[in-house]
Amino acid sequence: MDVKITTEREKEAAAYLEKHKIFDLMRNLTSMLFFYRPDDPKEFLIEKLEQLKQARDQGQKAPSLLSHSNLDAAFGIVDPANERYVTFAQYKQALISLGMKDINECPDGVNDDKITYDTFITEGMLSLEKCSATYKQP
Amino acid sequence: MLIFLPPRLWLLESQLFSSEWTTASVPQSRKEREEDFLFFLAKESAAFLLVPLEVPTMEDGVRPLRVPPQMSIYADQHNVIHLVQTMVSGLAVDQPEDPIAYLLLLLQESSVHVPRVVLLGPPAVGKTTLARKLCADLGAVHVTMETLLDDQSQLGERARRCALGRQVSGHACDASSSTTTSTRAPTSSGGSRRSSGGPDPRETQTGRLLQHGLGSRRTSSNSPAGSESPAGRRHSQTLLLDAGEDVLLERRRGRRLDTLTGDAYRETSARPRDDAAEGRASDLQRHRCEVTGMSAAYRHVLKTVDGDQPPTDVYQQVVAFLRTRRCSRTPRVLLLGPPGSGKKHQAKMLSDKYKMVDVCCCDLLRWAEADPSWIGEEVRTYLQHNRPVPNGVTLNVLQERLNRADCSQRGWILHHLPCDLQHAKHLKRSLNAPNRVFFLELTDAVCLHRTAAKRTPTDPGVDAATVRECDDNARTVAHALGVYRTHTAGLQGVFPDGVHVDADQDPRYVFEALDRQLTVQTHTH
Repeated sequence: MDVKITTEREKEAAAYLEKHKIFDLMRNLTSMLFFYRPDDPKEFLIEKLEQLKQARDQGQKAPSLLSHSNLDAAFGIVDPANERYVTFAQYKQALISLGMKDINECPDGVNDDKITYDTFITEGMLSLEKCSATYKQP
Repeated sequence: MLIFLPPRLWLLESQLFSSEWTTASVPQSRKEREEDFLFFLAKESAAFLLVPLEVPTMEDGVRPLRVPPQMSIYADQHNVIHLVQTMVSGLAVDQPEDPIAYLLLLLQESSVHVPRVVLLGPPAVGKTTLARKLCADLGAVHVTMETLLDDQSQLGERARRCALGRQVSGHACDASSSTTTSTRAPTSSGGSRRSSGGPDPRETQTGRLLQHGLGSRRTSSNSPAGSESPAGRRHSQTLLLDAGEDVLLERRRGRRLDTLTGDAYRETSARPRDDAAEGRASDLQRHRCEVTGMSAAYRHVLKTVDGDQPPTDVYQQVVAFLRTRRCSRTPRVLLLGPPGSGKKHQAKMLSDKYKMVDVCCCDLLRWAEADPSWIGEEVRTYLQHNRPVPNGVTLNVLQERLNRADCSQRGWILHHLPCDLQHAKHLKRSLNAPNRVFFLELTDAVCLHRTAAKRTPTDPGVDAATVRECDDNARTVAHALGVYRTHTAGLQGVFPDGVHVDADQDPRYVFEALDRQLTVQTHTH
């Protein structure tokens, strides 16, 4: 954000937004909104927020736009020869372009530079959950 | 890259959250800054929300991500941008401990289009009269210093004690208590309020009109103006009533004498009876100091209305302003009009102002010819064999052009649409339906006169470069005019909410008329 922050309250507000991951939350919500394009956006947002709340309180899965099948497809793109493993660079690039942050830099198989399909999916799902859990971590 | 659909919509953070936010802190007069800050959303150029970021690709390259037009249309239709902005601003201002619950509450309860207005102005300009009338008409809650002090809650108590203390000891009241009181914005009946500081339900439904007298003696002279304003309470519109100093002094004098009406009495009740001329002048002086700061702080939602007019005029202007809402959306403008009405000129001026893409049907074919994609192939085949390009292909070319990244992202303005009804209907049905249609009105005689004048580039008013590149002999013009006239009724049927603008005036006035219409949201679409 290249906004000039001048007063204390503005700094507080910026810190608050950072702490509660508001930007990530908004990004997730609006992505889902624009993908599904429901007729009643407010109802849809309410539903997703309820799910997020349950995810936070009861440890359920948070709502997210991407799923297992997207990860599967991403792997398929990176591995057109169907060798069932990819290099570390490809693994990282694939997850970045899907929008993941906090990618595990040391997954299984990084020493041989051969990330298998299963590792890819596991790591991908973990990152996905982290991205969707847009609330303050206790 | 079908599998990567849906792409993560990379709402470019700096577009949505920072350049659309301008944090304007009220320039302090002398004292502490910490109390005031105001967040604003939607700068003028924030008509464009979805700016594709560059997405890193597999090949270590960077490819611009194209946002499908369905998403822009959806955003416009449901006013998603406004909704998201309200949510984020609410969070930033209130900073609740549990943002998810807060958002749920916000979405379930309040309507985002409730009027929230701040009325500012120097003493004696007529705020109370105006405010009362507006509240009666809009059904909003009127909040002034008196109603705040009447409030039954704890905060009201504190404010009352402060006010009393100030009168007795003359010390400055703690600005924060009045700030928090005004942010809680109670109703005059002092109902119960949620302790978390959520807005009072009645006020949420009906809206709020906050009246604030700058430079009035009631307000502590040591607190900067911003703290008296609803610091941290987002409001959608601000009105500044202004009038010349002598008018205000005159009125004030008049007010003091007239103790019969409730209005005047209220004004004079708060100040000491022996209000000398210096007192009035000093109030005005204070107002003048504060008003520049306030205007700067609120500039995105401010409208200044001249208070030195008959009250009915003031009221009409105010209502007109309150009814319009700034809408941020991708502009898709269609300019229709007979030849010579200045469509190209207006389109150029509008696209310069709003950074839209200026799409001219005359240049379409030339663009298509140069385009490497499938549409270019088709057009080239026709042109190579020197055959005229059929209508169907032109339609496709137009659609393709409008679907390109720059058009769907920045918006477009289309002028000189081939006056074919089929074209118009096709455009309307497609994803690229225009959301603003203008009909430039001009009589035939003026059309012919103007086109004749355009053909002579020695006319200093016309830039030689803007002489039309289409055929310009008089017969063609007359023919085109005839065609346009026959199709006008049909076109108006296809675009029933098109706006008619009189083109027979100075281009600047036409431009202003178009500009005004562009940002006004008068219908839901």
